[in-house]
Amino acid sequence: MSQKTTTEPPKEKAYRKLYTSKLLRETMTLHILSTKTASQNGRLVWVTSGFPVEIPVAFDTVAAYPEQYGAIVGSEKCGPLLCGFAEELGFSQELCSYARSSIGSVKKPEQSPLTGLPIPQALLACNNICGTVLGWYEAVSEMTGAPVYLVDTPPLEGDQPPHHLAYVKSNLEGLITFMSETFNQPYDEEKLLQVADLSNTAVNLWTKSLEACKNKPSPLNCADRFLSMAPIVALRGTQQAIDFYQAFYGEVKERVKQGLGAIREERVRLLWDNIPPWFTIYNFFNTLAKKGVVFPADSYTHAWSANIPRGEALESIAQVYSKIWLNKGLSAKIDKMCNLIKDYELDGFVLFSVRSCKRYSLGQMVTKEVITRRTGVPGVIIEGDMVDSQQYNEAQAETRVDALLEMIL
Amino acid sequence: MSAPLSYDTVVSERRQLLQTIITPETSLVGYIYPHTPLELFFAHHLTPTLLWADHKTSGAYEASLQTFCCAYSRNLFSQRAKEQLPKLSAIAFPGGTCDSLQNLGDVWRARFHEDTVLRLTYPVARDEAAITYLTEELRGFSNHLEVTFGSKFSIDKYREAVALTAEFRAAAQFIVAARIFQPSIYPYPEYAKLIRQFFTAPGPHTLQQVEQVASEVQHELRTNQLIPSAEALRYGLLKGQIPELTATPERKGPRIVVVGGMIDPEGIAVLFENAKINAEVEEAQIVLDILSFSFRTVFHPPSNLQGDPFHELAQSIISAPAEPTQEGLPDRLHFLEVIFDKLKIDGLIIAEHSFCDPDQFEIPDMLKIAEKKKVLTVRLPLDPEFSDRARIEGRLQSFFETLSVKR
Amino acid sequence: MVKQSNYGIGIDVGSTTTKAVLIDSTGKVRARYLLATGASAKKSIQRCLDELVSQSKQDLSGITMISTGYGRSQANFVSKSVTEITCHGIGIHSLNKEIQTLIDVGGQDSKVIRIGSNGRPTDFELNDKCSAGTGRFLEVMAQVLEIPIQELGSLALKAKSPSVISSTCTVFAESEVIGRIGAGDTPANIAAGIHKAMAAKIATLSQRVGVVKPVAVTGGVALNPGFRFYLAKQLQTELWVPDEPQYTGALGAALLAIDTHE
Repeated sequence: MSQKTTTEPPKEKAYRKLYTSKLLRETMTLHILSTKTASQNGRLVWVTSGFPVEIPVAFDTVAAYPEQYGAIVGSEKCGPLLCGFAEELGFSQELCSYARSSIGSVKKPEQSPLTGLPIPQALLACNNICGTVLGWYEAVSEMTGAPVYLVDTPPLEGDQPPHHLAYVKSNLEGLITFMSETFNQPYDEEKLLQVADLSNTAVNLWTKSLEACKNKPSPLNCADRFLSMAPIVALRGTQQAIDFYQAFYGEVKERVKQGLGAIREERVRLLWDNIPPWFTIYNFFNTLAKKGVVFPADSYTHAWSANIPRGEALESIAQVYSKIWLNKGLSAKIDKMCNLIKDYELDGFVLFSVRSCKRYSLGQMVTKEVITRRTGVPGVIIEGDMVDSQQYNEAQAETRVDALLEMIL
Repeated sequence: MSAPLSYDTVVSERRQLLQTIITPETSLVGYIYPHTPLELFFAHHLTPTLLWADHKTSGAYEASLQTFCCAYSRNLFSQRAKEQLPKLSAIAFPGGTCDSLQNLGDVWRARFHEDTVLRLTYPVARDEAAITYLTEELRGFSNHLEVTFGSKFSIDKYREAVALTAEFRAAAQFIVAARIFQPSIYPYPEYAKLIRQFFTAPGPHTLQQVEQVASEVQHELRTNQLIPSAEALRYGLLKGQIPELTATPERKGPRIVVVGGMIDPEGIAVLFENAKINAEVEEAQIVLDILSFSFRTVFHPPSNLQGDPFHELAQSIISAPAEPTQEGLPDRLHFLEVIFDKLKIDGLIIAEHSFCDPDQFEIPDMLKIAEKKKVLTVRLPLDPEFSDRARIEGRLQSFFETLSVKR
Repeated sequence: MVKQSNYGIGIDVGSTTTKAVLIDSTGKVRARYLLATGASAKKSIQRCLDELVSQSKQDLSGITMISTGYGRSQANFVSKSVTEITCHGIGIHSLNKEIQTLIDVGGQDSKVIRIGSNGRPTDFELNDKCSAGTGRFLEVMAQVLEIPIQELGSLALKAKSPSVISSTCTVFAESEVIGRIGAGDTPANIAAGIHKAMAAKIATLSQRVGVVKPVAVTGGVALNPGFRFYLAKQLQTELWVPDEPQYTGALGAALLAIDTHE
């Protein structure tokens, strides 16, 4: 309990650092080491962020996340370098920068952060987050020889019809056959259910932490959530994730109890939409923190809040992973953002138009108008990219957000 | 030396042609994806028309879509915003094929409330489960058409339409196969025009034109005893496989293949012909294209009239070759390699459609294969407006200059 | 005036400058001229030709002329127009037979060309339509720094620690440079950052074709020592630059004109 006072820096910063960030770093470092060992042992898979990772985990494989690696590349500010390696191979600059930097790191691991992700034995993609993942993983497959398995979740409009569920379920059955054959291990349904339970426990802790941000002041800011979501992405279905989120949620509760906000002086509460600009994540949110701006909610980190219901394992997984909101179209996304604005009592919103991410970003202009019409709060669109800093103009982004603040304050 | 082609003529002809099929009773449904089941629209007393990009339209999308939306989507949106599209009863978007088109449908609905926006979602696989899924999607789509337009699925209309498209495809496929042997038999720009006419205004009139050409081509081939070879090749292409050619293809000049996505084949033809004149390589010929609105639309296996219409249509759509979103990359790369091996190809033009993810991802691997097979390549970064046309023609001209050295 | 039928003229109508070269059948340059293309390509072509006449004291009528460059179709009285890719290949080959890869950076275009055994290109790659990685990029940045473009390169060489300019988009980089100025970076460091960003962009383009040594650099930007320094560093190779790198395309066109004539 006394930790928080001893870790206070002498000069007060505009934001408060989480003490669990140390545990986060340790957890993720161990994870990275485990991916290296798994690759050597022939048990590493690469998965997309929306992939039903419970299945590969139940097959005792370790999952590495190229999107998360993209975030590291961005934070290390070597996006343009790695994207450049892919462009040298002929990949267009118009393609997703997660894909480009990932392909670039496969090409030149020695020049990449952490010497790149370890080489996988299988590439597991699910197109519930975008269609781009397929082209990306196929390109990596051509380079590494690892086979691709796609769990196809066609975009949904409204409820999931029975033939859609049946199709996705058959894809999952195919995945199980693929995993059994690739890793020479039989399928164990009981084990999958156990993994799903672990996954649910971690997701519940995560969701509670996110929901704690309804408090004023908000215990977490955007960068806090974007960094501490790493285990929910990469370690869902493992005990490590639960261990981390127990500590994390503990800190969040403590902040709430003591009335401590993520930033010193909370004046404006905003919603953030989309992946953040990793190369300037601290700078961006901390500069705003100095102006009293906090982001208690965002559309991105809430993407993992779905729970796998009890019942027949594959059918449950087919339901949950089909209904990721990016797979449900614009109106679902707008509804969700309007609800966040209402539930978290937000004063406005910032839509980050990410050039890499067509599925997430196309539609933001309409979104902005509809949200303001429905909720009455103003918003702004800023442009850029999450990894390729060449596509981001800091001065332009700052001016736009400042203009939004002038409308609110 | 023929006069340089003008793309303006192409666009105005397209408009006129559409006028010929519109009567007060015609309900036109615009579509934009090569694997849209035309037969299903006809079965519901609707007339499908492929919505082409218009190279003169630009700049009306900015308030609704970002610049990194696929260039074709932007162009269509601009046409709609400027009220330049033909009068449509509905517009059908594909789902699950690419992120830009997926979101375009949503944005369209939000912006143009008065429009009837339909969506047919495709699976990204080719197995039995995918066919079953698409069968049910088509059945649901048909129900939706019935509710929306109050017109029941007519089995007679359906059969008529299956015959129409099957006859068109057989004739067009034959012309494609014949041109591979003897590209001079029918110029590429003329072929592209035939295809455009049919997909703009599919009906007996446009079918007859294609059949007429096919029969003339057949006559010509007969004198050279090439018909069996062309037929064998046609069947092979339908399966995405190419048999050993049983005759030597004509080679008066460089033999070129064009690959790419939703790029207007006639636009490519215009660029190609103009650059040829400038580079003085009049013998260069496009012997085959693998473009969305040509090869990928023409090479569909015919539907079987006996079975469940929805299942038959699904089967035909899913088994069409060369589609980036359904076929795995290794299959498509293999197909290209076989094209290089067997069709005596000298050059490859990669029509790189601006912000088209599915196509742009495979370009590097295509380049690698071309290099391995010693096929010279050029990338043409294109949008439907041909902005930067001088530079694109310069690239093509340089390509021809380099090609003539190699030969 | 003497009328010479065994001469050849090459005119390179670039986006920034127009260059003309007159050569004799041995390939010797008899006259050459360069001026800003300006608003009318036709006018600048005419002025170039007039200048060739006065320098060489020759009647140029009847001499084979080949045009090249962005505005090559504007020279409608020439016998033929050939793209700058081929002309640069031919031109550099005549100057240095060893060169395997040519990087030409002009005002609006940059290109990387693999040179075949006879000087003809065997492969090439061009920048996309945005002005990143072209002379225009440097011009805009020089304006922002309020430094004459001729001095930007030598200024960059004086840098102690180059600023980080991550954007190569001309518009974005402009505000980035303004930001660096505001942050107090020295003009030399900023200039170095600009050249570094530009060199990285060109290097990526070069890798697509493959950098086979020896490598030559031509075009107006080849005169810029800062660019040469950072490009050489990026590509890890020495760069060969002809005495008058801007004339390479026009020279190639003139050589082709002699060939055509023969």
